[in-house]
Amino acid sequence: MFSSAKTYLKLAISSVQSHMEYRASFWIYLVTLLIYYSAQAMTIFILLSRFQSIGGWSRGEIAFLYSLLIFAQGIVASVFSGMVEFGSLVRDGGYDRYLLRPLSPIGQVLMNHFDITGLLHLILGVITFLVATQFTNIEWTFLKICTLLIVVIGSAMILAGIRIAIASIAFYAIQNYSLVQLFVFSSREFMMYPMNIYNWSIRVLLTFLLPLGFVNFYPAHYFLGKSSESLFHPAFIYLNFPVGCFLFIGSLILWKKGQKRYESTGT
Amino acid sequence: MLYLKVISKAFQRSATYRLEYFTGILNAGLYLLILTAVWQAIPGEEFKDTQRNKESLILYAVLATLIKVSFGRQDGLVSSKIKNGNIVFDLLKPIRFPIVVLADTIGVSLYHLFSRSLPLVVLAFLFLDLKFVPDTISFFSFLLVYVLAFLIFFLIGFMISSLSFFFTEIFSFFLLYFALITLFSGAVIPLDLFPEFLRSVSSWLPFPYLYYYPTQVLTSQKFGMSFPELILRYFLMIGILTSAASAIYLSGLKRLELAGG
Repeated sequence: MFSSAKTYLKLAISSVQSHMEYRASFWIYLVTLLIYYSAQAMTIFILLSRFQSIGGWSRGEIAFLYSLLIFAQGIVASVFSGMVEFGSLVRDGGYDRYLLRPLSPIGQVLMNHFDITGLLHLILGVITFLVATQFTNIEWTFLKICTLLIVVIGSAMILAGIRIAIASIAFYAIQNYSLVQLFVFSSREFMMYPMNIYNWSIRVLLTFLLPLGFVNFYPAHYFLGKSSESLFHPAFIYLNFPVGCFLFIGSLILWKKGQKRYESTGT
Repeated sequence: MLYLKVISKAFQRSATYRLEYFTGILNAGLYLLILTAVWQAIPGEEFKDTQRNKESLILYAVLATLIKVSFGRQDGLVSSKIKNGNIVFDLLKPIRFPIVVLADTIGVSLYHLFSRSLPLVVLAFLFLDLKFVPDTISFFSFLLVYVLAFLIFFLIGFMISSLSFFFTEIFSFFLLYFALITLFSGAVIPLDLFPEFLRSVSSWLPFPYLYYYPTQVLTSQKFGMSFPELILRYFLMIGILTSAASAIYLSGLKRLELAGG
């Protein structure tokens, strides 16, 4: 097991080194990412500078909600970015190469796409979180800090689980990029705002079918001390981690099933 | 005549990707859903010091999204040709490559206009209970502005794609473009809700000309200048972008010849 970890580390390092070969592109990407996140945060800022509240959530509370999303997203982006490109890997036949090696194929996909710039996602996520907490009145007790760590890991597992599940579709459908675009990127827009602003059917969708609500909306109630009476069930504010585990493990099972029926495209 | 053929071919090519079609519609639908929910969730009294109300913001979101959806992105077309060398074959043909790309973009955009924007406008009017009917002058003014906005859209895309002559990977530039467009084009928040400083900055960038101004014209809203002045600005922006895109493309060609020698 330890030797496997060593091998994964080597794969990750070589991936980073290959990216660093194109130095200009590397720095351009860093700057771009910075601007990208700034633009996204700025959009929220503009909205909040103009309006005091949205759906009963104050400025600070919405900023906190957004920062929870970005924090978890930072973790996922730094590790699971390989899942986004997996469809083309299957289509090009590159996946065959992974199957020939005595290592977990999914582990190889992740490490071969490990990117140093992915860590910038995480750093920006942490910074966003620290800045946003300044706008709230949260008293950070030891218990809350521990809960935060659990929540962030739970949220990351939810987002990662969705990425793995969508990537698994590449085993069944030749072209999965549209689904990646829809479920990995577009659906995330829903979580930039408090979920109670949506009608009942959307809230059901985002709680039970595509449980993004557990990434930031439900946990935020705990930290902000908001009333949970209007939620489907008050206990939902604590279910972030269990849902994360369920989704992550479920997506791995889905992956293994897909892998069993994998046929090379013959390219 | 030959360019019309390219338009037709691009239109047909777009129609073959059914999954793209449905997810494109769904994406735009989700986007509209989020925006309308946000505007609905803001207490009514908070609009008192703006020139907007919920209805006008929802209408704005619908129209801006329809315009956005109708522009067919061509991120990969030019850059992939440059990377794999196929551009040489296009350059050997007795036609101007940039015009071919423009024709192709027109074809794809026409397809998007009919297959995405039109269904969305029907859905929006059914579910959002919109009661908007543009007056005649505004509509024809909009058509002119819309065409000019499309040219700006094409020029920016072509300019970025041409950077493939110089960089192995231009994904960063498109991401940058996407980020700036998210903020400054008014696709999400109309520019009149921006703080003064940001509003000034954005008026000097090409991005508001893509969605904000066309939408304002269509809805007969104010946009901070007279219509003739707006048209003048459009042509100025198109001139600047044409110069920039040409400079990048032509110097890229020179570089290409050197490499090919």
